Formats: sequence, C-alpha cells, structure tokens
Amino acid sequence: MYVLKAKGLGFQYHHDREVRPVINHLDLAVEEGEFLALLGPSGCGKTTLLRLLSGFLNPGEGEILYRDNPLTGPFPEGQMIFQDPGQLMPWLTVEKNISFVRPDEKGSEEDIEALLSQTGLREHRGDFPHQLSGGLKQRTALARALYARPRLLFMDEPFGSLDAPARADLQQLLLRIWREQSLTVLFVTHNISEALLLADRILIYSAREGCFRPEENSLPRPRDKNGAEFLREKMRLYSLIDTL
Amino acid sequence: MLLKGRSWIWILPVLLLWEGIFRLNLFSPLVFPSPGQVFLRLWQDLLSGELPRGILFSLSIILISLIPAAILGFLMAFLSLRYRWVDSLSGKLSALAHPLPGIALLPLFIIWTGLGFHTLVLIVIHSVIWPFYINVRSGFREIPPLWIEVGRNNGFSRSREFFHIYLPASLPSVLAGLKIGWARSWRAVISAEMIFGTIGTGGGLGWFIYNKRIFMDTPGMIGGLLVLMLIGLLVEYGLFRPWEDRVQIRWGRGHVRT
Amino acid sequence: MKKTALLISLILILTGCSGKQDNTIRLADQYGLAYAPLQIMKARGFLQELHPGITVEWTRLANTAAIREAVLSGSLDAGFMGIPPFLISRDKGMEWKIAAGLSRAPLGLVVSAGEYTSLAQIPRGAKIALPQPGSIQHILLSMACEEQTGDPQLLDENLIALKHPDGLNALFSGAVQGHFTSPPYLFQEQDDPRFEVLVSGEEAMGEPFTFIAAVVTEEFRRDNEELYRDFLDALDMSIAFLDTNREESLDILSTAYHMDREELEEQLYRSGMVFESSLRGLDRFITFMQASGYIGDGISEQEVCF
Repeated sequence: MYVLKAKGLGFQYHHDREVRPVINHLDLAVEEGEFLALLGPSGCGKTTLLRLLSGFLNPGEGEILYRDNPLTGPFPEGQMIFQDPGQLMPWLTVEKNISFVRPDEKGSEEDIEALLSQTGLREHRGDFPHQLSGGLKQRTALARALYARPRLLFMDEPFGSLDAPARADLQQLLLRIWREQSLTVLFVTHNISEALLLADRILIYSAREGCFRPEENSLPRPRDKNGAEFLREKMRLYSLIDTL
Repeated sequence: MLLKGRSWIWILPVLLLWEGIFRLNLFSPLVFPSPGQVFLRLWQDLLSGELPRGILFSLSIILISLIPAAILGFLMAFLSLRYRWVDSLSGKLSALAHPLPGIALLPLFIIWTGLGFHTLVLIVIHSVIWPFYINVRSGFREIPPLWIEVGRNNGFSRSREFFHIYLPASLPSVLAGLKIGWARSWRAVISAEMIFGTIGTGGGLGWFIYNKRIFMDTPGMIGGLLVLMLIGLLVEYGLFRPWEDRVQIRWGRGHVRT
Repeated sequence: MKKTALLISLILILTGCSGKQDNTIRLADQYGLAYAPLQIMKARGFLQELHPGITVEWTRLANTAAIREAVLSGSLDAGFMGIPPFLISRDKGMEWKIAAGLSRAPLGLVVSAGEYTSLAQIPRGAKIALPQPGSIQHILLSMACEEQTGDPQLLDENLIALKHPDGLNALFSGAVQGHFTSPPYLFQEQDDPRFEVLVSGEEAMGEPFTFIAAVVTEEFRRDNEELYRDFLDALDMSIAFLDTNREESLDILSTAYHMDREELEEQLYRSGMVFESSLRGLDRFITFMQASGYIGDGISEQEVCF
C-alpha cells in the first residue's frame, strides 16, 4: 500500500531569466510505514523535493498523490518538522506550543500529557522556547507534529544543528515513535550515518546523473553505528555519492 | 533603571544651584523664579484642580485617539501584507503624510471638520497612525515564514492565522509602534493645545502652560513644564519599558538595560 | 567642573546683554495696519533724523507674549501692544510704562448676518474665536457681556483661542459662530455679506479707546531721556505724515505690507482707523480688569504711564 506517490515530478527555479532545473522526471512511491531518507549534499534539491512531497511547493510538472488523491497543498496528516529551532512560537510555553496546532479541541488534555511523557518534556511544559536547549526545542517540535495526529512526518534535517549526544537521543526517540505509531517518515539529511541508522530506504542524490536514486537499506535493526556491516554500507554509500 | 538608583542624586545639587542663582538676584523673578516659588505654585495648581484637569484632558485625548489610530494602522499593515494595492497605496500615503507635523494640518482640519475636541483627536490620530503603521508593517515582514507554514500545515483558516500567528507574532513591533506613537502623540497634543484652546472650560496641559504664559505666571509655567516631563518619563519608564522588557525576555531577546 | 564653568559663562551671557546707553533703541511691533505709523517711521528714518548717530533695531514678533518675554530677557527697550496684556505684565511686576498711544481701530464681534440680535441669544454650543485669554478682544467681549447681561463671564464657555487668520478661516468655514477680531481681518469679514458685526469695541467700552500703545522700559527712559523724547517726537511726526502725505504713505505701506494700493487706501482711511498719540480708555480698562480679577488693586492710571 503506497501512501505517497510522485509521477514524472519536475521542478525548476526561475532566477531572473535563468531557469535552473532542480528535480527532473522523478518517480517515487512511498510505502505505508516506510522510513525513507533523502540523502545528498547541500544544494542538491532534497529540501525542495521534501517540500514538493509535503505540498508546500507546487510541482512544475507531474503530480503527487496522497492516498491516490492529487496533492494541492500542505495537509495536517503530513506534518513538517524543520531544522530551525525558531519554528516554535516564542510567545508560547512548551505545552501551548504543542497544543497550538489543534487549539480548540476538547479532551486533548490526556493527549498532551501522553505526549509530554513520551517526548520527555514533562518538566519543561511551562518553559518558553528560549529557555530550552536545542534538543528540547526539537523534541517540542516533534511533539507538536505528533499532536496533530499525523500519518506522515516530513523532517528536514531536524537534528542537523544538535550536538552528538542530543542527536543520538532524538534519533532513538524518533525510531521508537515511528515503530509504535507505525508512521511513515520522510527524512532529509546530508549525514550518511544518520540515513543508514534510521531509514529502510535511502534516496541518494547522484551528482553524476543529476538525479535521485533509491538504495535499499537492509541492515537489521537495532543498528550499531560501529558494527562492521554498518561501516561497510557507509563506505559503499559514500562511494556512490563521491563518484562524480 | 531610571526611576530608582543613585543616578537621580544630581537633582539635589541642581536644585541648590537653581536656588543659589535665584538668590544672586541677577534676574527678575518673572524670568527666573526660585524652586520654592515653582513648587508652591505647582502645589496650588494641583489643589485648585486646574492642573489635574489639564493632565486628565490631555491624557484622555491621547487615549481616545491612540486606540482607533492603532487599530487602523494595524489593519492597514495587515491588509498591506495581503493585498499588493493596499501596500502600494498606504506605503505612498505614509511616505507623504508621515513627515507632516500634525500642527501643520491644524488649519485644514479646522476648515474641513470644524473646531472642537475632535480637532485635537484628529491631530493625535495623524501623529500616531503613520509611525505605528510603518512599525507594524515592518514587524509583519519580519515574521519568520516558518510560523506561517506551521499554520498552513495545520489548515489554519484566515482568521485563525491572524489571531494565532500574525497578532501575537507582531506584538514586539506593535509595542515599539505604540511607544513611538505615545511619544508623538504627547508632543502633538501639547503643541496643538498651545495653538487653540477653550477659554472658559479649560483645556489640557499644553493649554495650561500657554495660559500661564499669557498671564505671565512664570512659576506656574515652569511647574507645568516639569509635570510635562514627569508624565513623559513615567509613561516611558513606568509603562513601556517594563512591558517591552517582559516581551523581550519572553521572546528570548532579553538584554540588560543599564 | 566643566559644567559649572559652562553655567557661569551662560549666566554672564544672559546678563551681559542688558548693557545700555550705547545710542541704540530696540523696538518690537506686530503685524497689522494698526502699526502703520511705525512703517512710516522706519521708512522715513524720522528717529535717525531727530537723533543723528542712533541705531534703530526693529523686530517683528508674533504676539504680545513674545514681546513681553523679549523685554524680560533684556533684548528690547520698547514694544507696541494692546493695553490689557500690558496691564497684566505691569501687574506681574514688569518695569515698563505706557509712553504714548499709537492707534485706535474698530474691533468687533463678527457673527452670521441676521443670526443674533444680542449677546444673550448666543447659545451654549456656539463657539467664538478670539486671539487669547486676557487679550484686548477678550476684555472687550467681557465688557460687552457685562453691559448687556450683567455677567462678564457670560460667554467664557463659548470662547476658543485662535490666531486672527485661523479665526477668520474658522468663521468662513462655519467651524465657529463668532470671531472677535481687529483689522484687517475685521474688514474682510465685514465685507462679506454673510456676516455682520454684532458688538463693536466702542459699544463695549462705551467710549473711544487706544488699540495699540507704545510701551517703554523704565530703565531705558532713565538712561536715555533725550532719546526717549526724540522717540515720542518721531512717533508724532510719523502719525502726522500719515495724515498729510497720503500718496507717499500709501507707497511706503503698500511695499511694507505687500498689499494692493487701492485696497490699502480703502482700509487705512476707513472710518474707525485713527492714528493718534493720545491715550484713551486706560482708566476704563484698569477698572474693569480689576473688577474681574485680571489684575490687582495696586495698578492706577498715573502709575502705569510716564
């Protein structure tokens, strides 16, 4: 069962009179419950692709189907999480930031409590964003997305600006939630290890061909970053990107 | 902080110097009254009700004008964001009208709308609306697109977007706009009152000072000026600064004021 | 230390400028036809003729308050103004006195034609513009109110302080229902058929009165008796010139006021405009202003005149 499909997807940026193609004729099918990583160097168009798939950008060519319906814009079931910790509202506490996306609903108290426990934010519920560490901010952003009852998470290098321990914590948290709630995750990263650690399938940008190509990641879970197999896979992917 | 601390201790030597110069008898008391005369007259004007009435009058004009001016300026800024033609129109309008002192428009306001309380209100609205609009407009422009996208992602309606994102997100710029608006309106109302006032029923603080001038009550005039300064300081440091500091800290832009 | 030095030098500057007896007279007038003899005096150089070697410094100020303040600061020796504002300053202790009259002029309260027949008919909501509280216009209107109704403050609630030109615009646009004013504004409003004079200044006073008077500081007269005499003579000469040399006077004045010759002639020699150095109505002003509390009892006619 495919939850998201792209057919003949194309997108170009117009700079003055110059036209710069970013995505060329891309076909993609994302399976329900799949963890898909978009991997590539900065500027390769992976963020653009994510924004197209999430409905924030309209494609120039081709179409995107969400559960067989054409996508016309962003939708609450597909929650976007950005890298920028500034995505939180500075005038709201952690708790209010989470409930921000569904403010007026009744019976949401328990949802919030559950989310606060799940994401480890219980003690910080009354804090304002500026009082939080980078890791806690991204936890809040994650909790906010989850509160919207998503089926899909679009994550744009969400842990890109975190230090190593915080990043590892959040990676584990994300994996746990993904499994528990059988979410579909589209995860942009430029970090090969991160992609290998998290994803079932990796869409790698090949500079030589100027397009994305899928690679299965069949490493058994739980994955060990220092295992021999992991390192071998990492080298293989690295060479794929490197052979320009 | 300006209201407390030792930085105000210099007032004492200034008062002493003032009294000293007065005692040298260099000037007529009509030119240079003693601090004692000024404070005595200030006290009398407070007791007689003349001064409190003037203060109340001026402040109520500002209050009455500030609210519609702020609402109008805010709407203009918001509509500018939504509609290009509104932006172009109000941009041009504010560029033309902003540099015009309200006092310069007084004769026109009188001919077009007649004379009265509302003339002062119009002048104050004019002096507030443009700087407020300009501030809020730039505040809107500085709202991170991320916040708007969170709204889009969650299917916010136009009104929910306005009340839950634009309105709270523009609070710092609204505050800055209000602060500038207050300073402008305070100046505008005082100077307008000095140009025309109602003789029988009295007027605001500007009229109070003007009247003191006409009847050569120099201590009373200086007292009025002191009150003028004091109110300006009180509103700035008692109201706007703490409010602004609170917002700045909450927004994580806190900085220590010395 | 630096600040103290600055302050002391400031004081020295402020006090230093009242040095006297250097064969200079510093005069201030205001805008209006009532000051016409001064334009003649200026243009013909009468004072320089009588007192060779003298420097005459003329300043044009916007209102009486500005003249009083300039005198207080020591930058003027004499000014021309209405009697009531002078009396207020004298009452406050300014050391100057009336030296002579300059002009009489028709003043009056202008209202919509046919609207009212007496002051008592003016309703509460109606607005009347005049220059400022304590001005000659305000005092005259209070006199008229007392005369007609017994209450000098009858219309005080209706009064709005506006400069003459603003008051004229306000009357023409209907923003105010009355305007107590003086020439040339009075003439402009009178000439418009929509308006009429409800009460004239002379009706209010009950007698002719000096509109503008020359006021000289006591210090100046003490130090410059001869120059003071010549100043008064020059004033007389100017007034006489205005009466006898009509054509030349019109030439001078039309340049000075940037006015059309015929219009000027019409206004200048219109009935009610009288240039004379004798002082009229002072006692009535003093009595009335004392009775209504504008000035204290210490003021008397002999004491405020040289």
